[in-house]
Amino acid sequence: MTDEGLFLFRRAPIVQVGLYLQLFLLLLIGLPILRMVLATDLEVLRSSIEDAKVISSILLTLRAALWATLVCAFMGIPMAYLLARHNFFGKGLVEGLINLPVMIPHNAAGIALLMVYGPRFFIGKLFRDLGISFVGTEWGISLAMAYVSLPFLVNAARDGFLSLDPRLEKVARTLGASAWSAFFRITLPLAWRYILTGKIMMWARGISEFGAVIILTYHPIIAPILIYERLENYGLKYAYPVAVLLILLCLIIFGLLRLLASSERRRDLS
Amino acid sequence: MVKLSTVVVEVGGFRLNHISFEVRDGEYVVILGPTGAGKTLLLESIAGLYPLKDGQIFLNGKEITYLRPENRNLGIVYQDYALFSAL
Ligand SMILES: Nc1ncnc2c1ncn2[C@@H]1O[C@H](COP(=O)(O)OP(=O)(O)O)[C@@H](O)[C@H]1O
Ligand SMILES: [Mg+2]
Repeated sequence: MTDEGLFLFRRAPIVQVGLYLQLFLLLLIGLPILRMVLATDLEVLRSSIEDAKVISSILLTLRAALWATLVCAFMGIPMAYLLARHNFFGKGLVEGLINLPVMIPHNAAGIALLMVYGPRFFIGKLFRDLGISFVGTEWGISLAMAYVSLPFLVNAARDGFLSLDPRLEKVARTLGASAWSAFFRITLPLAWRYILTGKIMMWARGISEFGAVIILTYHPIIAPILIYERLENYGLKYAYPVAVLLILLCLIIFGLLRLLASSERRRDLS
Repeated sequence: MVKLSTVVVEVGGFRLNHISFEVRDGEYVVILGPTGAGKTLLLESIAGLYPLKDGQIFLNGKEITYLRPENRNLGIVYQDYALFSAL
């Protein structure tokens, strides 16, 4: 086993091809980020850390995406459970609709959202009367983020529920657990890692959203839009420290969260 | 004592059609059938995990047809494993 690991050329040709392609893909993804981090002028980076506008836009981005994720988890996890455990008329349509946001251009999604939650449509008016506006507000940012990133959470949670034998729940029922109790004490704890991964994915996808957000809300400004604005107004030199800062923060946060998710897994297996 | 009277259960495209039998106290009963005949579904239905389309189920003389599984005080053990697959 171990010297197979050392001598890659001894492996089957298909494995070798896979390894070289994997290396290529790693470079494709990693190189631009590495280059950007290395090319950053430390002075400019420090001035962007001290720039209150940069920090507040990054915090706003993290916060708005987190809200979107938490609120959608509340609605999306029960829905994922339904999709995993039950067959009903129109299920295929529901599954297709859930995944639609991944496929449409996100600025088009933003326009569609504007047409429903903007002040010209009765739903938007209804929310306005409740004191909630989705145009030019943090609400609008979260809404746009939620719309385009919800599929990641629902799909991951559904896969989690599908990975469990429904008999565990059934046995729990015969041992005296109500349907709710079986869900919260058996199913949810066992699917937890999938759900956490789904939340991480959704949060990350929300943080990186640009197209849908910019249609609904330019100000308050989120970090991806700030990067774009700096690029347009001052050039690359002032855009990339913001980008580097955002990327570094995301790498740290998601590194820690992944560590959490995988430590759960190790405990599961032991 | 367990008694089933003309029990009908439908899941997906499968149907248990008018099952009736009685198991008296102290009796052992073996239900035989090929894979997919509905043995497990029958036991699950007695445990209350699927709603009946028709018929009634009695346990010790009391009707339990509409009782929830957690209130039936009736256990089942699946063939492949009991509770912990790793054991
Ligand atoms: N929850 C369910 N949803 C849909 N079909 C089911 C469900 N449970 C059982 N079935 C179907 O009912 C039939 C009987 O299954 P089962 O009771 O497990 O058979 P057996 O235990 O006799 O091998 C099978 O065709 C199975 O696919
Ligand atoms: Mg069976």
